[in-house]
This record gives sequence, C-alpha cells and structure tokens, in this order.
Amino acid sequence: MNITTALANTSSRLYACTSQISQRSITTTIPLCKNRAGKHRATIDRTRLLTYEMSQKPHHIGVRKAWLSWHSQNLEEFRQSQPIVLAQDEVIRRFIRGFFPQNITINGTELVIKRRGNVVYVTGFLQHSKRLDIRRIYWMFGFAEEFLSLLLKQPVKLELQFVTNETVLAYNYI
Amino acid sequence: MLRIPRSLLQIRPLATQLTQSTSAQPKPDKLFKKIEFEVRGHDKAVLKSYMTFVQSACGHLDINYTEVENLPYVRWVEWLLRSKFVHKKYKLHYETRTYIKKCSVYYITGSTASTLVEYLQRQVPEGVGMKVTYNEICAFPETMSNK
Repeated sequence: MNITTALANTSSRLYACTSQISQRSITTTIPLCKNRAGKHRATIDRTRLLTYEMSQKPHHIGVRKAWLSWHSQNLEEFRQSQPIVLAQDEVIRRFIRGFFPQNITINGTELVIKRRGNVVYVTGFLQHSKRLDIRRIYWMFGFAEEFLSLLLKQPVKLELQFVTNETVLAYNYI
Repeated sequence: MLRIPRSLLQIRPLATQLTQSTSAQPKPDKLFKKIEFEVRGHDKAVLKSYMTFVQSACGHLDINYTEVENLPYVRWVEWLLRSKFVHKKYKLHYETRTYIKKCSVYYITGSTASTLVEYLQRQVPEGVGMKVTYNEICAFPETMSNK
C-alpha cells in the first residue's frame, strides 16, 4: 500500500511537471511503470527464479499477496508520520543491500519490515556461500543493528534467517 | 561533643518525612464504567485473531466484556489512467481499505484497567492501530456536591 500511495502522489506531481516544461526540453523524471510494477516477464528457457511473494500479481494484494512493510501509518486516523516511515524503510533496505552484498537474495528485495510499537523488526532471508564464517556474520549482525538503531533513533532488531542458496526460496521458474 | 549511639540516630526519622507519611492517604482507585478498544488494520484476518485473543484474555482474567462489533470499512480510492495518452475508458484502480473492529470491557477499577490495557497494547500486531476510549465514573466537583 506504501507503493500505491507513493505512486499516486508522484503521478499527480508528474502531470503538473510535464505541463510546465517547454516542448524542446528533456524530461528527466523517473518513469512510474505502474502498468508493469510487481510483474515479471517470462524468459524463454525458464531461468527466472520467483519466490511465492514475487509470483503473485499485484491484483492479489490482500488476498494471496501480503505487504513487505507493515506499519500503521496508512490507516485512517493513524497517519501521523507517513513520510518518516517511508524514508526509514528505504534507508533500512538500502543499508542491508549494501552491507551484506554477497549474502542478499534476489537483489535484496526479500526483506519484510515490521513495526511493533517503537521497535523496527527487519526479517528476511540471507544466503551464505559454502564458507560460512559465523563470527563474521555475528559481528555484522550486531553492527547493523547498532548502526540502524542509532541512525533511526528507534530500537532495530534484525531477524534475518540464513539459507544455503537462494534457489531454496524458489516457488516457480518463469 | 555528644556521643549519641548510631542506632538511636538512625531510628529517629526527619520531621518532614513524618508529616508527609501520616497526612498522605492512599488515593481511591479510579472507576471505569466502560473501556472501549477500537482496532484498525488493513488485514481482516489479523484483526479477527487479535480480537479472539482480547476476548480470551478478558475471559481468563474474569473481566466482563462485550461482543466484537464489526464496523464498515473505510475506503480510500484513487484511479490512474492506464495509458500514457488518451483512452480515458481504461484506468488502473488503487484502493486502501481500513477494517475496523470494536470491543469493550465494562465495570473495572483503575488498577485492573491500567494492567489490562498495557498487556493488550503490548500484544498488538504490526500494521494494526488501537484506539482506547474511557468512560470514567467520578464524584461531582465540590461546588456541586456541597449544594
């Protein structure tokens, strides 16, 4: 629902921007791709790996597909800090994607961010290569938790689960 | 130099502390006629399971509770044109639904209320917001009670 609200807001601004720009200039706004968001194109030899969440089309949201970030800021009468939460989510996802570069699965999109009270829980799967250095992973976990807690000024808990390879998460191949 | 044994010195309390302890009477506990919990979320199943948890907790603690009331959902709708240019007939429909459920607990004291509400609020699942409304019974103000 975050994505849909964000898309709605940016689309209205996009129409406003394009009307003011002269015919000879180049538009540099990011394309919305609302028609293609959340959908994956099939490959000829069926090599594209999809998890269960990825394989469901967007019109199944709320029925077969759940959200990747859970917070109460999209509810009626609870919308106090929508932009803060959106920004925090983005920061968390980018940080995890950059901090565990070899360990993320499927380009780091498989992270679920939950908020219970003031605490932010980051859940998801990470893959480890054959050489599993447990001390290093523990250190990185602790550092990530500390760093994010200090950055967002909220307690952040990582509940990332390790998996041997991302092929374990596959639901089907397209 | 007076030599007062330490035991005597420690026993004797300060004058100010004495007066405070005798004059301060325990405040009477607040009385609540009804405490209403309104739960809002995007997922009906999550709200239903949370309400069953609330009812079972109240049942185990022997607190009177009402049935769960389902209110109609609040819908936020926005449509966008599917095509870049023309084709007003074809749109993409985006909507957000906020499901609402209500439950209330009646005739409880302030201490029970504070513990119960704190316990229930700690168990609220993610993506769910809870609103608590109190109906408190209090005495008339002095100006009215004297007359």
